[in-house]
Amino acid sequence: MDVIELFLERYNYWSFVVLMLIGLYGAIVYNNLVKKIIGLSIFQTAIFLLFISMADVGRDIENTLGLKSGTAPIVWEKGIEHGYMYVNPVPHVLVLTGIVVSAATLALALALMIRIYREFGTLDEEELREMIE
Amino acid sequence: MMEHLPVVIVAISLLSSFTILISGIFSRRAGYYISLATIIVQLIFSTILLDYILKNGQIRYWLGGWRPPWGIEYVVDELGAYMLSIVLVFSLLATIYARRVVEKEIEESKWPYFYTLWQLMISGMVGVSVTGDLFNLFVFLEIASLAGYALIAMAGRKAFVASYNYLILGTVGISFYLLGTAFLYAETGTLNMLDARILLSLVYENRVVQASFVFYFIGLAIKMALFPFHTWQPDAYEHSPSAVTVLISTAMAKINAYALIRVVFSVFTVSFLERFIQVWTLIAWIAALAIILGSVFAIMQKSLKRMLAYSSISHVGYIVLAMTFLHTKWGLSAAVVHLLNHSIMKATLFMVVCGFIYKFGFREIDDLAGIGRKMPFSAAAFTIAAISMIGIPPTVGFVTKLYIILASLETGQIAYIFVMVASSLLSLVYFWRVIETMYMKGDHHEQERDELPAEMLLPALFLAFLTIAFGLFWLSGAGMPVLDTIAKTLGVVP
Repeated sequence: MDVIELFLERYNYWSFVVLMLIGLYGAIVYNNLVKKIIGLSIFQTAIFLLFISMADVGRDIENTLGLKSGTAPIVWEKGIEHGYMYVNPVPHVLVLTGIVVSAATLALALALMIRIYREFGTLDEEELREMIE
Repeated sequence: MMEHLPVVIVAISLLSSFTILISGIFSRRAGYYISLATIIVQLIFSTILLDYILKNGQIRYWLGGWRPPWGIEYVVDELGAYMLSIVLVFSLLATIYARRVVEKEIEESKWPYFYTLWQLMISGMVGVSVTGDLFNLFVFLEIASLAGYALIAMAGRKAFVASYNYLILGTVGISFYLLGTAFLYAETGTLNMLDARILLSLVYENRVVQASFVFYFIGLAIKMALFPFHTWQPDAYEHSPSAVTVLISTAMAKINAYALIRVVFSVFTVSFLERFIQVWTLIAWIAALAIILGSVFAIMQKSLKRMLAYSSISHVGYIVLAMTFLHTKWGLSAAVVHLLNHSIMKATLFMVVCGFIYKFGFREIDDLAGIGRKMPFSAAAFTIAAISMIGIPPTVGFVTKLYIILASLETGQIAYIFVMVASSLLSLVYFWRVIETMYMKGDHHEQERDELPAEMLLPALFLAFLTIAFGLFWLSGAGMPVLDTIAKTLGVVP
């Protein structure tokens, strides 16, 4: 019973774990370079979701202050009137920066992939290794 | 003025990198000179900063005037200023060295892009040395790494694949770092290193904090190519353009090690490690394994650059092993000293080896027969650095080994002395092979002297001179006060 409750209450954290593992598996196991970068993107996105989940201070606030979590920090005064506490803005800012970094990584990886394909005619890691050696 | 220097050093570097990009429209050669001028200015600033900090203690700079737990803070302490100087000195020498090799290896239309990325990478590394914020460190590390991936790919063909593999593993590494930061933030609610250090001291037993430590360690271990995670490194070093090899094998490899020292000692502190001692001992043994296996792999290589790459893996092991000695100043001192020492040795070796490639296209050890006559100065620089790698006094390589041996004597972990001796013997095997080929094989009489151009030879000779000069400097004990202060600031000795 407790386990199911834990699972349901914290479903966002569980989805983070699942996504992270899928992403890491994809980035490491697949031989196709495109699949690798897709896995890597999922991995990074999972971490961003963890940050977002953390920002919502939820249950702790409800127990101590009797406020629900959820408004944007810029309109927090109005939110508190209606019984809502604002979310922590810092993780959102971090994720924004993180997304920029991951977009840059993705762009660079795709550019490299185009050059690799033009040069070798394949995107399979095993074939590439044979061609280089 | 003085308190603004930390941010000025980063800002002019970033500005310069985009100036180079724009200047590329008008002149393809301007980029090199802008980059060189910026690095010289940065180096002057960092020298002033180092001098100021040694006299007056650390500088804390609040970006935008926001107070630390909320705003980003730049903290330059003795270790930070020391790292800053290392990064800039090696960037300067690598830039001086770069001009000729870049002219030969890179198409002319790509020069402005090359120097833009070059300066961007240096900005990232400088940023890592001055920042006092965990997330900001991530951002600067990514700036440096992304520029690094692109620079490696500039050599073309094989380099694309090498760069791609580095990109995948590097990004996995940095994502683990980010994950560690997420866990740490969830537990403490702060990203400031000094603040996190205080808040963490209350929750060392917490599983989330312990998981965060493990993620940080794995992430940075991938970035710095510690043994089981080293697979990207030999390819990346071997196939990258010569100038890039020199820079990533010295400054870039050290900046990741520096980030690890920062996170482990400034944020998690020694008293956390004491409670986590089994894992820390395991890491020490992994590092010892890295030292031995790196050398064994190096012996098996035919390609010179690849051999040096594997020897770098072995020396990353040195830094991590040195970090694992707690309760003695020699352990951390060895790690800190090796940041500089290994850079000096590896920069010399790679400069000479890339010089062989530049001049004759020699990539394999067997090609080098008789080169001792042909290029006497380069060969001499290589030999001095090789002697230092083996660890013969009074060179810098000996100093690191001496400090690690002192640390293992002081903490009673005698086994690591054997690791040091074994590593020296293995290094002797693979460097002797090269030295023997250079001086004793091939035709000795009909070789005419054919040296490298001055701007490639002089940095290598200067570094070969530093190999001995810094060896004497550390051995004379003149550097000891600084090392003691660093050990005290990081809380290794009371």
